[in-house]
Amino acid sequence: MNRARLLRRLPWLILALLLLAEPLAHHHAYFGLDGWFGFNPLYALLANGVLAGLALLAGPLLRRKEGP
Amino acid sequence: MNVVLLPGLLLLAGLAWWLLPPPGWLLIAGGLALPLWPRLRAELVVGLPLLVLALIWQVPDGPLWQWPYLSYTLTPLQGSAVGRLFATAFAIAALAGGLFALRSARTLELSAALVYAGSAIGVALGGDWLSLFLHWELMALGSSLVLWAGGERARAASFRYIFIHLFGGVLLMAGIAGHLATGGSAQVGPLALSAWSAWLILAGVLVNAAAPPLWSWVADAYPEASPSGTVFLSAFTTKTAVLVLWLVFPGVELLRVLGLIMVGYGIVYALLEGDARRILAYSIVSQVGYMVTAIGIGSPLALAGAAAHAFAHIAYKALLLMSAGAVLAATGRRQVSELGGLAPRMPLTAIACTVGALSISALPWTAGFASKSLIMQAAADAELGAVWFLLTAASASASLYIGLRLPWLLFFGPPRREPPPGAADPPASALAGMALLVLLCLLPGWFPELLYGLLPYPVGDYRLYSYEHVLAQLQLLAVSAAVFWLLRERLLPAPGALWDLDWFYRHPGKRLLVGGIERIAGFRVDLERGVLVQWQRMQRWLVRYHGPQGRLARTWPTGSMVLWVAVLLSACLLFYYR
Repeated sequence: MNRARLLRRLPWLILALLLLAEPLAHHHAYFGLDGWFGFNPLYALLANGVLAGLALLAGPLLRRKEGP
Repeated sequence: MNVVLLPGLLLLAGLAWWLLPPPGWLLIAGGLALPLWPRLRAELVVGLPLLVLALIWQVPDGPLWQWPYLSYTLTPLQGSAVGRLFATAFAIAALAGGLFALRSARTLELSAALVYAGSAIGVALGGDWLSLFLHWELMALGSSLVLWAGGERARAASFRYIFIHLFGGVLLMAGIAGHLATGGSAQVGPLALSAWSAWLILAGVLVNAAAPPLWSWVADAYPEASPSGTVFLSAFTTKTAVLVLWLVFPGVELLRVLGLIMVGYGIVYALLEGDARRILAYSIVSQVGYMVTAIGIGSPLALAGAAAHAFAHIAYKALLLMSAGAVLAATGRRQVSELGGLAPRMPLTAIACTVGALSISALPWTAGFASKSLIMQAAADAELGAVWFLLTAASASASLYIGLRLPWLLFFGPPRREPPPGAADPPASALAGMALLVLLCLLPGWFPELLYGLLPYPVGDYRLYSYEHVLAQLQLLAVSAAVFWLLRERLLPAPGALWDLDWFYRHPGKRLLVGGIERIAGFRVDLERGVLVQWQRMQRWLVRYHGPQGRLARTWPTGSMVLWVAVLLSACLLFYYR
């Protein structure tokens, strides 16, 4: 495997390792939901998805032609 | 000249050490002296913040300088844990900013920056409302001049900036006057939002905190300053406002709502923006939103978190703005669509930017993690589910909107336009300023007790580096990084400015103001013309009747006189007839 390919795969590898480390954690749930298995990755996915979607949808609406 | 003046300066420093004046005043005096002795640039810009930093730590708790004024007691110097923390952060920002600006900034900018920093320290270490207000207004003046020194575009922005801050100052002044007039204490302390004066003070402070609706001045003004000017601007104004909110309005629920709105606004706009320094300006609003939310929570841990986050934010935001400023200075470009691939040419700047970006993302072992975690924990402890979930979502998206995005857009991503051949790291003095901030971004992460020991409230048994907490944070950031990586090309900002609330006062507001002034001017002209016409008419009437040839001056015929006497006597008879 060449270096560039390894670098491309590294983030996914880290993500997989972080998911695998989840069973070892004893989360203290403050609000119920946050104690669920895999809450953090799923919540981050949701938050980033919503933000990216908002940026893609609202971007053209919020952009005006004239300068600042 | 230095040989002659340097012993004098050292003598003054010794005198200051002995007398312990309000430390901010030394910076203000240095700022005013700099244009007179520009050759002492290095001594004043670097040496003075160091001296001030040392003096800040000599100030004991409680009032130190006090004198009566009218029926009040002025306290321009008062030691407190929170004041010392903010003053320390301000002095470090002045030092790092001064190092960064030393070789490039105009004397006017450096002079104004020293006054600006000194006034911010004056707010932090002042104990009464009048001292606070005087330093507050001096800050507005200093910051406007820092902005003004940035060039042609910056001058227009500085006019808009000063108008907003004078408006905020008027609100604050009216509030303070109302508070004092209704028998309130002259000493700065918590206020209940039951009196109109407290609302006015809150409104005035919120203007400087970039809270809604007057939040767009940050993104309007800061990116227009010089590369070093933006660094100074990012450190003081919003953070002094955070400090005053901290002192006066802890636990006010409205602040939670405003803070969360600021967090969301900053993130969305930073993601859509294409100007590197404007991205950072929006992110200032977002990060200040965390602090405002924490103050709104109001528990000791939340307040400690707000103060810690202000300290950390001053370090990493100044570092990020230095990196973006160094890129601007090296390439002359500000739009990310024209940048990229600069890491081989500016490796040290790239490292500095990455450290700042990781710290703003609250990666474990950075200052941002040490400070933001306290706020999250405080929200959880207070059982504020909505606040915790929203702040966690904001933390989770940090990589997407800035943490990985900015270093990638500027340094590590493919060049979207060939960089100029001379693009290189800034000079050694600027790199020294960046190195100082890199240290501040990392040290509280590795040794959180260093930061926690300075906080106004103890963090108790809070454990930053538990396995669960670090794992949770790494998971949030890793997913955010993955989403960024997948969408990095699709989320490239398009050209053009963004609609924001400043549009209302910059376009229709301006037209309304100009139209209003024209109407008032027109009315004045009409009024003057009308008054003049009436005056001339009266003059003519007076001359006609009372002049030398006027009717009343003539000798009337006897018959006519007798007739008028008869008429007047008849009238009298009629009036008095019963």
